[in-house]
Amino acid sequence: MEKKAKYLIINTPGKKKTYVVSEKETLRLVFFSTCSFDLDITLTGRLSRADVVGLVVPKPHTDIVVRTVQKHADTNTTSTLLVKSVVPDGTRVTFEGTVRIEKQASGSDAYQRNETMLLGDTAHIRTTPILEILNNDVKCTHGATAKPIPENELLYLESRGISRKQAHEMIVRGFIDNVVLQFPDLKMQKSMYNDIHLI
Amino acid sequence: MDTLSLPSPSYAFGFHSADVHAYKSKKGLSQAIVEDIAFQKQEPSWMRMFRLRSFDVFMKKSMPGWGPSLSKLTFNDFYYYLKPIESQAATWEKLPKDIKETYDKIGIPEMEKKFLSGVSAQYESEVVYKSVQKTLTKKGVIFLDMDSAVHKYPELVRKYFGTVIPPGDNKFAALNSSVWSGGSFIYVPKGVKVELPLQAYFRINAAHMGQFERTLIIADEGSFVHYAEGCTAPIYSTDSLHSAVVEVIVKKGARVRYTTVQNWSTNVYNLVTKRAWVEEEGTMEWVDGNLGSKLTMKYPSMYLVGRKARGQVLSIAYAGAGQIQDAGAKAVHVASETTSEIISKSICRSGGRTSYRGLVKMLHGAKDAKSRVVCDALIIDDLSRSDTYPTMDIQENSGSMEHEATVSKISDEQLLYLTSRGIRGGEAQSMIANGFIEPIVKELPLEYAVELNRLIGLQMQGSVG
Amino acid sequence: MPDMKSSTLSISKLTAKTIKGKEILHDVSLLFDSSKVYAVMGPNGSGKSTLAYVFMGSPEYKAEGKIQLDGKNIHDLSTDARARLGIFLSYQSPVAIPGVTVVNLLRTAYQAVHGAMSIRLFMTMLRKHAKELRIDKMLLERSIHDGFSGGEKKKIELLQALVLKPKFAIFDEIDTGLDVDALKVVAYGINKLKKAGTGVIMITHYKRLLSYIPVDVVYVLAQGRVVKTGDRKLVLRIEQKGYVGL
Repeated sequence: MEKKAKYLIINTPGKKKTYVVSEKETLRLVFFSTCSFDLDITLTGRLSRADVVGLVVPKPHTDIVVRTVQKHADTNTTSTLLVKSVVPDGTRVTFEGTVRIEKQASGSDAYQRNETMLLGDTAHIRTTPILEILNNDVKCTHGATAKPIPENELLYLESRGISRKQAHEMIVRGFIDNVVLQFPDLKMQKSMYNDIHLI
Repeated sequence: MDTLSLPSPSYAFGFHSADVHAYKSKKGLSQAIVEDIAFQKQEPSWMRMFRLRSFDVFMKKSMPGWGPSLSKLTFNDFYYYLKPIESQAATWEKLPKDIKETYDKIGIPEMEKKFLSGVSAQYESEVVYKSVQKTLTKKGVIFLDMDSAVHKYPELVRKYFGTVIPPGDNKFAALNSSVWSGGSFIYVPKGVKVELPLQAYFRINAAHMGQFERTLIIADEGSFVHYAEGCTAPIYSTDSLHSAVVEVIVKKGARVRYTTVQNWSTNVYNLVTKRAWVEEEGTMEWVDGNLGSKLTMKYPSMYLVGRKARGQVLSIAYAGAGQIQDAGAKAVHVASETTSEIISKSICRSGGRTSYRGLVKMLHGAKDAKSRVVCDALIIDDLSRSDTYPTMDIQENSGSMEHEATVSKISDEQLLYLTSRGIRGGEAQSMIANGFIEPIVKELPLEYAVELNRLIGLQMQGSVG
Repeated sequence: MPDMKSSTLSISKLTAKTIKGKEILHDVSLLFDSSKVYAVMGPNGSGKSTLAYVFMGSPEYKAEGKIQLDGKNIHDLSTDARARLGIFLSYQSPVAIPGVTVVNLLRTAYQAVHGAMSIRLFMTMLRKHAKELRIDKMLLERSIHDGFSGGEKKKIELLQALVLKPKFAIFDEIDTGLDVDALKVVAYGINKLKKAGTGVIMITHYKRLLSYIPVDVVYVLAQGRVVKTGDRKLVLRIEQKGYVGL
């Protein structure tokens, strides 16, 4: 049974967001956060599934912590989590992503990825993707990357007459688009681009 | 070339000679024992003071607040010093008979004859036998046990000892700094390349024996050395403690490779601090094989402090029943254009637990630094557990960092493929497990590679009914 | 050593279901003789590949009915036991096994099936077959199927059959994705296998390979049942008119 996707925009830190996915259900979640954020997803029913995509763009000169948990508590469950982050100057993001596969959760498949684009000289990312796997009949992958805006991409756009500032913006947009464009509301999308533009 | 005599499925190195020691310290640890150790070794006062200061730090420092539980470790249950004979034997022939027998069983004579440059073999807390080939001394390479180095090369030792890993670094570094005994000291002069691996063997013998060797390697500018060590220990019903400290200094343009294959019997706590300080265009390579012990906590580290310094950690961990391998790596990028690569492969079965714990840190100013971490874990059965706890702390926006980890079991498809070629299930599992660790095994010296493949093979086949 | 005298492989009233209970093969009875060359044809989804997996005893399928090799029921034997008795399957999409080289695999398998052979003799034999199949000898030292092209994968599967000399070799769609040159080499290898006494069973749904290898018997499967049996003329008929009306 498929559920419609849920959309979250977090602009002020609040309580932890918890989701429980029961048997044969699917959770689709897309989030955008400019501040600290806690997300807990537990797959309690067999054959349940959670697909989460998120974008974290902290307000400049802040120090935020984003925590996510993907917990598999039953058999043949699947979860995917992609969190992208754009970190401006003077800002620190700490990302802690846990995938925990319990002893009884055989046949589970978990994927977690954190990609960060560092925008300034004093941008700081700390990422800790954690795996705790207590069952062997599972497939589990996680990955993390942290990179600046690639100089060769900037040069390429400049060689096509585009100013550095604009090229910068284009590349950042390209990076975040696959998350932003998942939000159905154009107004929401616009406000997100605005937030980015400001940094 | 003779191959190392290979172990049978049950632990073949679980033997010990009747305790032959010229001197045995009392059990437990106290300032008096630390003084005693310095006195027995007739150490200069600067080393004695270093030990005493370290002992103070040890007493004050608390146990690590993370990682596997060390609650069963009671420091007063161990002996901290043993001295088998009065002085070192200069040649193989002069070694006491029962010690020779011990090493015969491990296979040192063949090794020595065939292709090593020199062997420092450690028995209990002190190096009993050493042999340094003429070519080494001619090149100006210093390779001897740490105790002798303190006496023979005091300025050199004093300059570097404790600079990479100060006693205050962690409780076990402080412990080692106060009671250390044995270990190797290596100095390679500028431009000298030592082609053959330098090797050492260790053993823990007496009940409750602690092993606290201290190794210091200094590779001067443009030099190269490969140091290899493999450990075995006999089986006892009470726990043994192995807490070594290894400091490596890689100067400009030099390269050091440090290979360890650890196969302690499964009653040993193996808590090691290993760190390298890598200067401009220097290269450090840690190759680490953790097969034995009850609990190993080991995170080879490199501080990349000079421009274009490179560090690499290749790590294999195997955890069987009742074993915890908590291993990993640490890379700190201080200077620009530095690179680090960490590849970790672990296998666990029969209730064993493997954990990867790592840190990649890029400090502000480490421009264009690059790091890549790959850690893969194979969980063979549903009794076992695998965890990864990596942290990437990036404060510099010019370079790149990538980390990837995968956890899975032996693929059914691969098993089907091999069995469909007539290969029996157990052997098929061995082949896949050995194939899994192959990228690292091929970096080990041949005799280690052979033994390792064989051990994994035996362990894997034991798991199929 | 598998006897290269004539052998028979038969299945009788075989029904095969997936683990989830879906029935793929219904009441199939087929006979194979090692002195002949067979083609098992049929449209996609007819159960042809399932037949191959059932011969090998893949745990993905539950099979009921008789499977006999030279009159001996092999239904309860494990995959590796069947392989040692002389059944070989060349996979349509073989899996990659990092760290296990082609040489390593073949030497271990050869030893399991035929017993020990000196490494020198073995390598000579292996290289000879590799050369016949125009396989770059560098490929032999690489992890099997890891990063191999489609054509390389098929040739390496065939190489294994030549080295292991089974009583029956089943080729699951070995012709898909091959260019003309590779196809000719594969045909050459299969013909060689046949001459040495191996019973060849080619699973395919079109004619390509069959124009290079003379077929004796054609079995056509559709929707999990045997719908037609014939000789090579049947191949031509399928090429012209497809599977309609069979």
